[in-house]
Amino acid sequence: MPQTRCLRLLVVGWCAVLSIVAPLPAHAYLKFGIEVGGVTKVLRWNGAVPVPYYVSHEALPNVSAADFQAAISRAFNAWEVVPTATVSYRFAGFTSNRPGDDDGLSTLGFLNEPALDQVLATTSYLIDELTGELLESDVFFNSAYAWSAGVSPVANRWDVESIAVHEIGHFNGLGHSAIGETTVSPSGRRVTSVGSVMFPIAIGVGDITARTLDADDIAGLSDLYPTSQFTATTGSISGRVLKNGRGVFGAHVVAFDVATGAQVANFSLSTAGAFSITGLRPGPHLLRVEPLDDADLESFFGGNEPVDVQFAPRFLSKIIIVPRGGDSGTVTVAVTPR
Amino acid sequence: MMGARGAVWGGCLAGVLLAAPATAQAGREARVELAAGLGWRGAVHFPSVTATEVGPNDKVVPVFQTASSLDASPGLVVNVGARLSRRLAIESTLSMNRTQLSVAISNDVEGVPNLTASEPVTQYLVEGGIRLAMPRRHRAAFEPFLAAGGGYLRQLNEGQTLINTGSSIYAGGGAHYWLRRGGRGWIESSGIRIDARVSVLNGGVAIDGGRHAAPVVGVGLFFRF
Repeated sequence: MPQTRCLRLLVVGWCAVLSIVAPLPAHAYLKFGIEVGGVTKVLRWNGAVPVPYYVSHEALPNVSAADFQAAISRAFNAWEVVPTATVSYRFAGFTSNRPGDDDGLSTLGFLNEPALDQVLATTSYLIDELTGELLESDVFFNSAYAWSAGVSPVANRWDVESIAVHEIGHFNGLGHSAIGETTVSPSGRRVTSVGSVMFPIAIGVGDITARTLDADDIAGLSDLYPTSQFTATTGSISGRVLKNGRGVFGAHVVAFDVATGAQVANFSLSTAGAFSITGLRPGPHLLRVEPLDDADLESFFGGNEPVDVQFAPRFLSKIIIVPRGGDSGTVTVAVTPR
Repeated sequence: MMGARGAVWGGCLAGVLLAAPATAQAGREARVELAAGLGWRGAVHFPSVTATEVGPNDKVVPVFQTASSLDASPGLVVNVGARLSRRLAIESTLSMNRTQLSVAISNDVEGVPNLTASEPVTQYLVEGGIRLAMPRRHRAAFEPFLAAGGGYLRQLNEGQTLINTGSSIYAGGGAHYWLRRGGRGWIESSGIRIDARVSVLNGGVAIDGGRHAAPVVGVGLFFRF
């Protein structure tokens, strides 16, 4: 029986991210893993199902604990209803413990962290270092910002439910998605559009777009906690991104379903440029490859990876037919320097 | 799908069974027709699909646009028919086309140049139907006819990673033009057959899963036994 060693290992958040766990290569979506004895273990809940969570007693002047809990419950439900994933959750009660305490309780609540500039919320993990199993996952919402927790959005306040949906994606073990567009101005980076609730930057106050999962989010969750139906009825595209004949690390590869318009993406996650996108509906797909230039690289990688953003975005000139329950075979996308 | 396939093979079987007695009736008017030739199937255009994201205030932001089609293509056609009466015949048709599924991509938000992505598709149709000869003068060179039927569609992409199936119905007409009649051998007559149809394909690689009509024309040689 292996000895369990617990370690608070990862902090990911919305708007600013610290990541000290490597993204996993050759899997759909960006999920996390740790290396144990040369073997990469995926970070995911393996234990009790449904996963119990607690909500902090702490309230804000405009957000009661009950309203906060109700918004958190709706956010968990957004993930739980994904029919192709097996993960589920259980509200275990209110607690006076704080998010981030190593207490064995997965706690969501407010903390006042004004020093964390532009960090709306953060998720942290306690994991079993030997297996990668998630033991605890805490989410704090930065009460230095103005919040609302009602069903209807409130102008000039951040929507708890929307931000919680994003953080619960991390709670599940998912990393950030890069399906979104931003512009950079002297005042900073501004989001112009998003195609995944796991995009690392929130659209803005009063916005509730992120209450609803996108295809990319559903594929990511289903990849981590697949039902047998999901594995049998979806397919994958795998291949390599090359520049001047060499692999590109960190290219953003988006599979576009020609029939439904769904976009599911991943990154090339090796120096050979290898990528894999799973959870795709069988049928024709387009591949769009772009550099990772719509958010800070630290939102996706730890900072030590040789991410290449010096290439022009392009479409593959061949339609990829995704098979049912199988893989497309190796697809090579050659990009050109810019 | 099995029902459509069953109907088609039923049509083929009927053609074979009816052919047998015809060969035993030497000296009488031919009852079996075999035709083979080239066909052309028009393009099918599918609804355009736009890649979108959501911006502030729930505004839908297009990322790029796509327009999909199954390209027009030449192909091979073989018909086997059997006369039920002087004017009415049943016939089975096997056709094969090498076409392309094409997706034209435009208006990319990051200025990626417009591009048409494609994938070769081999399409097979096995159909059964009826052919009704129109009234004509005795021994006229031309015999116009009307035809209608349906069948089974099977489409394979180049890597055969996914087999798409569906069904078809068609209606149209054509004409026989005799080059030779009253031969002494087992070929009673022969000539040129021309077909023009509207073919409606249901399913297959159609990205919307719907029905799509396309013009189909063909020309070939026919032989009557």
